[in-house]
Amino acid sequence: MSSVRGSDALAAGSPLPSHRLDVEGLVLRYGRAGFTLAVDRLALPAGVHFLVGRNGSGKSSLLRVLAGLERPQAGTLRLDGAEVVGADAWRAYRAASGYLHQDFAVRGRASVRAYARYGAWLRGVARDEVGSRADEVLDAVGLADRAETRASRLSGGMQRRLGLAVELANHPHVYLLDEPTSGLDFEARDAVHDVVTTAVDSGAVVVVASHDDHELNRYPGATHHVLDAGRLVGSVTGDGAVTVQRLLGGVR
Amino acid sequence: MTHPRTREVLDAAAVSGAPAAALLLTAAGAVLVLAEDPATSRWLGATPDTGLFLSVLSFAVGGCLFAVVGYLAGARWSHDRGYPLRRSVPGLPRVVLVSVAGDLVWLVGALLLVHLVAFGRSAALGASAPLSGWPLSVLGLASATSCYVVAAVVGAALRTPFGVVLVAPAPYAATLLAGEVAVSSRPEVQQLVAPFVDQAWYPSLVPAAGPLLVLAAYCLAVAATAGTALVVLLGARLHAARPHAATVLLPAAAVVACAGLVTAGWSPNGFARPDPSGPACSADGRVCVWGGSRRTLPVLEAAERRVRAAVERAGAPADLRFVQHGLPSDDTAVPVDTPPGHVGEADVRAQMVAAYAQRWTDRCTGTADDPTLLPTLHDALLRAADDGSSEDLGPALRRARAC
Repeated sequence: MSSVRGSDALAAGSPLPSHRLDVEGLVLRYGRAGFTLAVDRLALPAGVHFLVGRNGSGKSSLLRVLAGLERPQAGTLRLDGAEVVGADAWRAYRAASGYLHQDFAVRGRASVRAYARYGAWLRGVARDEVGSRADEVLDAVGLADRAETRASRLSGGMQRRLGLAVELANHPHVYLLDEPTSGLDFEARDAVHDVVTTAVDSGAVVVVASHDDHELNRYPGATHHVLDAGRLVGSVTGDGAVTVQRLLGGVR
Repeated sequence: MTHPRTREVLDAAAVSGAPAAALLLTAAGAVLVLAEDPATSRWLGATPDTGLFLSVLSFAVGGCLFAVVGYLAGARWSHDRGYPLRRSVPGLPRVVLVSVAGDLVWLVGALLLVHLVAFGRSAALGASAPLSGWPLSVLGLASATSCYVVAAVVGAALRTPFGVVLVAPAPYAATLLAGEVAVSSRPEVQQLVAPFVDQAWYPSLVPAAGPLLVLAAYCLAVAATAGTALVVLLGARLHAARPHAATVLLPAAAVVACAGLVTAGWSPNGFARPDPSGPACSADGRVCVWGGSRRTLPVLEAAERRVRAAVERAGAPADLRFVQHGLPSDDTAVPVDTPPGHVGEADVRAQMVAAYAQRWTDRCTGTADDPTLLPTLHDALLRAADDGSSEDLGPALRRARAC
């Protein structure tokens, strides 16, 4: 089976086909008697996918597996049908995916632009494009006018937008967002939603862990995958009236 | 336009946590360099000795601050908060390398600035060939860099930022330990424990580039070995892509080879060579100094003229020549000690007077016959040279001739 394509190929070109992420036979155990995440099959075609569940149900763990941060004991991950296996494939997958974690925060004295430049380099942007790409993504998340501000002095919401900007740098095909709007004001939420909408329009897969009823109904046609005690117990297509209560009640 | 690879490092420097330590290093270095008194300094005013001082400063003081930044970086990487290592596309080894380079831009830059200020101040006091101390600067920068990388490995292993209180003073402690090793039966090991040269070379010796560069290579090999170990350790901890453990073997072999060269070639003055510029003498050949101390020649000439005049007024032959310490001396060529920073005519004159007084009393059996003769002659000649009064010198000389 072929592996995922290299980052340059993934990032290049204009209109891209819809992307797709598939998980099969996933087993992730923490310790011998600890938490176990087990997902037999999860299909994530292009569009918005919410991971919904109680605290400790495995949402963040699943996102971390999808981000390549955890090495599961079993299971396969496929991007656009190609299994992600081996160092080169994982490197290409990291280049094709963006992951905004829950407790993203910036420290140090770097300016917003410097942070975005360095982040773009970490995301695999070609050396000679780092500067222009950093400016581009800062503009995309509404931080262009703050480019020279010290990043650690930004508010929490703005720092989250900066984190999102960094993850956008390599034009990912898979967005993994762990509670991206948690604690954000309306302006910051709108910035996140603009990014998500643009990503969906470009055929990307957007996976969001969220507890927020308002967010769950923001994207028509989004799919809600319900996790309980480390297992995927159901998937529901949104009808505009989805609530966490209803989703979780439905699985109990 | 900046080269893209350079740009990478500058971007890493922009997000580095090292500027505060670099600022502290610059301030501490500036205080140590600028507060030095030229009149009493062992190193100001002589380029080689300034380089020696900097080799110690770089390791003992610079090394501590390098170690602090390195340790905290290692501890931070081991947690990988924000996942810059695990999620990076360039890969863990490259990100670590570029991040280290970003920190070192600040730290090495600060240390280099201290070196430039020290050499500049020495040059302003008349030190010749201000660039000739470069091998010692290279050694200082390399030894401090090795402190950073070794501390980073320790930080990655211990993981807690609190361990920095143990690591920070380690280079200074190694400096103290080196003093103990230096007087042991294996003094050559001192350089491996604390890679600097703690000597005074003025005025006859200059840096021997070869051995110093071998010692610098040893430091860099240690840094390379520690750097590879760091990547292997972080890779194992973070389950990230990492080089094969066997890649440690290459830099480790370099460490062994360089350490062997350092110890095999060690000798008490193994890092120095005689000043190749040879002597510079006054027109009449009565005073000679090392070429590197040419600026002191007029001071020695003036002192010699006054002493000679006093001797000749007393009717004695002025048959002594004076050479700076380290130049060939014999019965008629007397060595004169000069401090590297400020050479005072009065001090030199006193040494010349002492030489004549000693020479005039050589035939006497010594203090057993007339214990006051030598000090009397010395004081009389010194007064004669200082203010031209010769009335005490004549009788003292007659007593000496009567021996």
